Amino acid sequence: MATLLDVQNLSISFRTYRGILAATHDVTLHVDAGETVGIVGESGCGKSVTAHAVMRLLPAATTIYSSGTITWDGEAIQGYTEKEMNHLRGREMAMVFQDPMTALNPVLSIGSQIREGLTLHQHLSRSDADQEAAALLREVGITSPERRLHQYPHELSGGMRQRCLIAMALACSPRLLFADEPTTALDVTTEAQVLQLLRSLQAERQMAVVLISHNLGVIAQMCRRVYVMYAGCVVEEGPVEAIFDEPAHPYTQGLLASLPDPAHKDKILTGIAGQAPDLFHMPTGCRFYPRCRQAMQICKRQVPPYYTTGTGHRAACWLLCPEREECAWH
Amino acid sequence: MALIDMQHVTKTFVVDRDWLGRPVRQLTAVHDVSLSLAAGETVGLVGESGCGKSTLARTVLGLYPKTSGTILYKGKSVDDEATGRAFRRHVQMIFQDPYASLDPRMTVEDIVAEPLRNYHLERDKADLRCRVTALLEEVDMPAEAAQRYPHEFSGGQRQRIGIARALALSPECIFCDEPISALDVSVQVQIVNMLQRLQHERGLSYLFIAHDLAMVHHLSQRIGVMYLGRLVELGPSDALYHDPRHPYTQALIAAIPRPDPHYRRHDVLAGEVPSPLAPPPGCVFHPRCPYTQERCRKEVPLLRDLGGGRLAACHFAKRGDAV
Amino acid sequence: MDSRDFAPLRPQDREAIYVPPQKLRERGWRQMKKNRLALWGLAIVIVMTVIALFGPLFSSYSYADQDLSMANAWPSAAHWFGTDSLGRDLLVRVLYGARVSLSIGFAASLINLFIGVLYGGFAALAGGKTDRIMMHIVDVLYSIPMLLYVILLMVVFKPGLLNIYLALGISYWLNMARIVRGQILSLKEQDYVMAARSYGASTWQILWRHMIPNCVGPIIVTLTLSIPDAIFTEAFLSFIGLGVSAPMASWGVLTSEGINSMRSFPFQLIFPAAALCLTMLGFMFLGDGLRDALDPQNQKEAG
Repeated sequence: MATLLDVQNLSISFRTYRGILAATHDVTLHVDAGETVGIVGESGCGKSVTAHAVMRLLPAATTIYSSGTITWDGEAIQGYTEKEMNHLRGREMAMVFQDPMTALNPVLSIGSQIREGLTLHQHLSRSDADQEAAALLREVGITSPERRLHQYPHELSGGMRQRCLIAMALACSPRLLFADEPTTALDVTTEAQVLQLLRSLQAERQMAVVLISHNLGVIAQMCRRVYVMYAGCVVEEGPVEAIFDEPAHPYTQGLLASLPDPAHKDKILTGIAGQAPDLFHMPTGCRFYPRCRQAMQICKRQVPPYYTTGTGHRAACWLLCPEREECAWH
Repeated sequence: MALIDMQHVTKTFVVDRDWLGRPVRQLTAVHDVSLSLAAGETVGLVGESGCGKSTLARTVLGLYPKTSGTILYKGKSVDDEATGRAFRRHVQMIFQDPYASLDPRMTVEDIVAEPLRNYHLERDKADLRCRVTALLEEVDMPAEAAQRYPHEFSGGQRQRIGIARALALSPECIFCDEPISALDVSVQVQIVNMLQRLQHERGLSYLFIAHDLAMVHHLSQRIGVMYLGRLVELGPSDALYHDPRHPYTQALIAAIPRPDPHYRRHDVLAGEVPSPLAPPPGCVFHPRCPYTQERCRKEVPLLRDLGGGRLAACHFAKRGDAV
Repeated sequence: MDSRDFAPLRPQDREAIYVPPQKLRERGWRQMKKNRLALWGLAIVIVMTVIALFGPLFSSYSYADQDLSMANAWPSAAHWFGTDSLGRDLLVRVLYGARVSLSIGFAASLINLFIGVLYGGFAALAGGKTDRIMMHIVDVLYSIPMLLYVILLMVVFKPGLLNIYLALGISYWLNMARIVRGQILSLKEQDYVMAARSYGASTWQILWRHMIPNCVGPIIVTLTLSIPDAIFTEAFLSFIGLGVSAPMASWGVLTSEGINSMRSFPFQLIFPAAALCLTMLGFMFLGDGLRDALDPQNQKEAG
């Protein structure tokens, strides 16, 4: 399948009052047309920043792109002008944000917010745009869409608002949809509805979806491939089954060991000790070593390269280094 | 005898008043909930946002005045002044938001010491400092943390400070109001494990409120499920999780995103939670329930005993304690 | 790479980054020190206050001494700022003006502090009907223009400083009352206030330990910013002839007099106007700096 988005060695930092904040380091990922890719990690791991960087939604004045390339459909887009980016953002890629309350403008009706994209990029007339908007709302499972067009965000429930946001994102039939924690603000039953909606939309429209979430359950249910991020780095990547069945990186293992197993209620959860590093003071070497139970001398000094595991996925961890076996330590 | 026995607790908020100050619109956040908590027991309380689980905890603790119902502490009503005082001292609370629940202008030492000061339990300054250090140590925080301010700590560490504060009065029971939902997964485990250790060491009871049913199941002996202010199901943790009887509990458990790529989800519950300002007649769940019958629309189901310590508020919940 | 690289990491190898604890007040001060403008503001305010208090003592002239032979003298060694049309030393008059203006500024802030903070705080804590009635009174008072008070007071008393104090007294605490009320209402909803109640703090303890310390920041900022406002109001009232009466001097009176002879003796306008502008700017910069330094939101960002 054709590669739609290709990000190579993307390093981003921010200028802040406290100094330089390292947001991502050498992030490499790609998305093929029509596939669902997950990015999973805890808060501050750089998963949202990566998506925002691709769509160039980061504040230009304070963002430093230290290295890396972003290629869209075979073309490097970092040199694009703002106008070209606007074109790309509306029609080729779109984003669904985490908080459906703040992502919608409270003083505009739902209809006018969906119409905005349609009239801007597809140059539809007002009545055509209205019809199109109603059709979109119907597609995302909103009943009596003609009436909803005239309603305002506060008149809708959280799940309903998230559906509207999805409709807005779909307005110009993007080829890639970033869903940035789309269900984090929602309740479990509503979350299930929205995930089901995303899954069916993805299948019908043959659109690529990048699902960003901290919830391993959501990722497992939705994605074909997964990137696990920690402290700004991709620590492990591969097919979803490989990652969940045989995690290779100690961080992924720790994350999975943090989830209770309903079948074994009384098993003590191991989890991960310590806390994520301060983004202003990143550890040298492997960024996970201060929390890693299996840390070795080399982890403190050198950033681990990616090693391919037996199950065909890649992880950045010295434990997988072939020379480790050869250097018979004992 | 139960440590805490809530009987028919109801909490109504006035939403709107007319110009004379008479209530026009009311919202029943908690409707006739009865729940008991034994010494050393953990009872989980789950439900979606707005189902009244936090309001129930706050009402029982007296942070909101209750509309009706009785709360018994060791068999005596907390409306009685002496019992009430003992109850408020021995039942403490941990809050959801570790950022909002600590005063940003107080040092950690002052925060943890505040309950002790309120009850005048400290002998002198040195004694207070000593106790605070011991409390911080109990929640795995270094003693030097005492001189710092909350904003210098991460969410997980702040929640530890909140727990140290709750432990200050040597409580018998702690109401945990979504203590882990604002935290990262790996930190959640640290807090949960710590709560279990403290329970073991101090013989604490917990009322553990959360929306993460899997974690509640892991932590609790019994689970109560709330929907629109009503307790719809109550039962032993394993039985309720693996064999839910109320259709809402079934839907809730089916909706949990499983961290297993091979798992295929069943049907998704349709519709949304109705407004608590206008709850549906009959069974409040009937507009979303896949098994609704005529009776559900008219008749309010009572919490029935299904045997095996299980209760469900559904006309058609099956009896028996088979798992 | 050799076998030593793959040896397990010992606990002592895991360095911990130690950040020394910091006092909130020191942090605020550090924040202020970084803000050049705010420091200049503080310096101006201090210098002006000192000069206003002690400056006239070192002058051989008094603000009322007339010397018609020296009328309209240009700045010289004898009269640094020159003299006015009646031959009074302008430097001393500007210094006396500073006394009047600053005293009005500080009076306004005291009124703000006592009436405004107590009124707003009480309304918010009482809540319900009391709160509604109290705030309606504020709304009504707010709707009457300041100028109207002064003119009404002139009918009762004769023009002078007293009128200005009274007019400020009636109208200046309104804004503060609103700000404090809003602050306390939002604090009441905070989890840590709820938490304090849950572990047995009395209303008084909550007020003393949680509410007041968390209100201090906005109160100080509002106070600092209300001082130049009051000074300017006095200058304006004096300028249009409703303020202090001759031979008393205030910056408003001096600029008003200076305007008349602006063409021939511009120094008579420039010196009092410059003093007024400088003081205003000083308070403004200080207020802005304090706002940044005392805002807890801001403190989260800065280290």
